[in-house]
Amino acid sequence: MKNPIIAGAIAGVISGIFGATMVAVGYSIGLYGIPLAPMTVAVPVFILLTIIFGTVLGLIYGRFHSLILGNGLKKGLYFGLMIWFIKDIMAASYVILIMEQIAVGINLIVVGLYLWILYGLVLEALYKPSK
Amino acid sequence: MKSGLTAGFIAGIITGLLSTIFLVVGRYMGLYGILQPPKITELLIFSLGWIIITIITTIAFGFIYEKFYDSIPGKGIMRGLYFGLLIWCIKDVIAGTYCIYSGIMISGLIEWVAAGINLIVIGIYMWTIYGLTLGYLYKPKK
Repeated sequence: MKNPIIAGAIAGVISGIFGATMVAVGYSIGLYGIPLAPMTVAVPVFILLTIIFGTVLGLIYGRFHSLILGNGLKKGLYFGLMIWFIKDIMAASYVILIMEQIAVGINLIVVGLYLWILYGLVLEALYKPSK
Repeated sequence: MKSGLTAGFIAGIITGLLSTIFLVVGRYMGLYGILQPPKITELLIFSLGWIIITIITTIAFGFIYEKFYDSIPGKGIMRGLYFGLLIWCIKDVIAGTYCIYSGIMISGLIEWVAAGINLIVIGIYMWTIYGLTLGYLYKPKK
């Protein structure tokens, strides 16, 4: 696939479904306390958000593809970890240390780790830049 | 300045100081709700913590800026601005939106929503200042 935006959107669908499944599992075992919205609403919204952000990140991936370390799936893995580091680790450090919202920060770091690793791997598997 | 790390470090100090001033002024203006006026020691600890986290974060971003410099659109200060906005988009908009989502859909806690909005609002001026300063300071090796 030569279009990074479409590759990003598809990677967003897959990681969104996986992430939403994990959230649903967390829900069912009471990890998040008493849920506010029904799962039939929360899961599709989570997937939709990941598709939107996956598309944006796919565009960024296409632009910086040649500069990212590694080859093959490793390149995708590094990109996913970079997103996790920038988006979740850094945002969580502000949220935990400054806003004193520890649960929010931990949630960002834990959910973000598997979500963006999977996203990066799928994105790299799909995206083949034009030479 | 030819080192992205050093440029990021200096831009981080400037960003940390300016954003701390904005945050403290905002707090006194009641921008974050009606809170007890902070004690001086609390204020100092908060400000110091904010500046330290900002500097650590921005050194890492300086390294990333140097690495991806050629692929970032724009020239000079504008290139820095685009980079700052890219960080804002990835770090604050995406993370903030997931926080707001979790607050509304999952936990039902208003603090989660507030944390998400805080990330997005504070991030915009913070990373704009950072990007402009970094773009001004960093000059790549030829």
